[in-house]
Amino acid sequence: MKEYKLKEEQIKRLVNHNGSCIASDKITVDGKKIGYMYRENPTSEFDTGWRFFAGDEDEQYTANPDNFEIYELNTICNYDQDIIPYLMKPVGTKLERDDKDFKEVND
Amino acid sequence: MEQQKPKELYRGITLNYNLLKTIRFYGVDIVPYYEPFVDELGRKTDKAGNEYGVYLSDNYQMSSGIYANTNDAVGIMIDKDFQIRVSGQPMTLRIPSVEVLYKIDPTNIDVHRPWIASYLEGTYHGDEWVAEKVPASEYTVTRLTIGSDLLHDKENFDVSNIAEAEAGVKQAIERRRQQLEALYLELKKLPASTRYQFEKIDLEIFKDIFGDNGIKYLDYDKTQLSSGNDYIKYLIRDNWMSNSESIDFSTLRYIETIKQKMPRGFTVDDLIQELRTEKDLITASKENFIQRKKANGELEDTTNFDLRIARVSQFIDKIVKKVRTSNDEMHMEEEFGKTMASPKEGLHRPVISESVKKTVILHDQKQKLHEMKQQLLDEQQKRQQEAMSNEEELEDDFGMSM
Repeated sequence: MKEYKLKEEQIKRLVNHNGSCIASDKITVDGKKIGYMYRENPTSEFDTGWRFFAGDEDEQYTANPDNFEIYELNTICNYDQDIIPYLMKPVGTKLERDDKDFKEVND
Repeated sequence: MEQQKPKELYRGITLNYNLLKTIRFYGVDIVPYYEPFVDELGRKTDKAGNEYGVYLSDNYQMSSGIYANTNDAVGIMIDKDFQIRVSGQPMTLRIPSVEVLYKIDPTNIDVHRPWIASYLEGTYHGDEWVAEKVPASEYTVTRLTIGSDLLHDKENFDVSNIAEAEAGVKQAIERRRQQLEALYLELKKLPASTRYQFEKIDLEIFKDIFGDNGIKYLDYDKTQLSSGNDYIKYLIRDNWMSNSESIDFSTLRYIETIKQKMPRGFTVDDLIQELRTEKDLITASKENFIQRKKANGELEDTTNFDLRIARVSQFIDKIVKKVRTSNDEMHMEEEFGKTMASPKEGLHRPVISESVKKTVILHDQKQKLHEMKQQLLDEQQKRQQEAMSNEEELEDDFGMSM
């Protein structure tokens, strides 16, 4: 059973978006800030396509499904409000943290 | 005989908050900022009955020191019926005025000595000249100063860029107005007996709370404290917030006294050291007091000393705790910076593979299904219990009717 950094009662309504996203446990369990995020094609009508990482997840870590969970987008905004201005970016966007902001990166 | 025009003329004015909203300091001609009066001879006059126009002077001292001069009695009162007393002196809360000093090149301006009202003849008028207007091309602003007020000292603006200076003055005066009004609302809550017994040190407390960078406007949970003065403000804020219904002036004055003892640019370590010294001094005084009382065969009541020691100890504890928290936060930020360094270096950017994603989604769906199943079971169980209790009630009712 995972122990999340934020309890259910601590989650506030920050964005009016009910879609889902996938986030790494480094954010929700270890409490790290989001360092890297990208948006891919959604897998369902509820999925926003956003994937969130602390940024230091190595290949071994990302290969383990137990290290990820599906969350409501608003929940992840509660873990790191700095992402809110970027949530309307289109599919294909990749953003890396630059202090309080995020900048687009291309592989 | 008409006097020869001087090479330079000056104009000093003092503008209140309301006038400041409409007046420009550059790019516009200077004209009188009120409509003329008319005397019995049908001439246009100023408020004093002298010739109407823009007044200039060849006496720099008069223009700079007398005409462009704010002082405590100048400015718009926030509430004319509201007063405080500081060390016995009555004071009102005023939005300060602004001193403006112009230098004018009169070469291309029609200026002459003004005629003056007959009742003022024979008095000194500051070597004045008058013009209908001063064109924008013929003057420069050489000084722009906001006067002092209860929360702020006098403030000079750099006039080398007059556009920036004008914007700066207007912003600053607006900020001051808001801060003074916030202070006014707070002071209004106090009984007159408290308002009439302020000391000069209380003005420093008000500056720390309501003035520029005052604690009222800072979110201390998000503010990084670094200097010793930051921690003084932290103590003031802590006390002020915990006693918002009844301001604890005694403790606030004590904190302000500590601040005044500190050297310029003091650090938090200096502050902790000063508080420890303070504690040692009070402890030593307490010991002396006990010895003296014992020697006289009197009972000693050390409550006052104990309270003072407790207060200083509390300050030290609060500061040390805050320093530790700040250090932890800094450490966390450093660690965070380290973890962020790797993707920036382009070594690795995490990505979820399709197979991992499918497993996560599947797991989530299973979990949701499980939750739904559990919810259904719970509801079913609830309904069964309700049905059973209804049956029992019916049986009871039926039994009673027998």
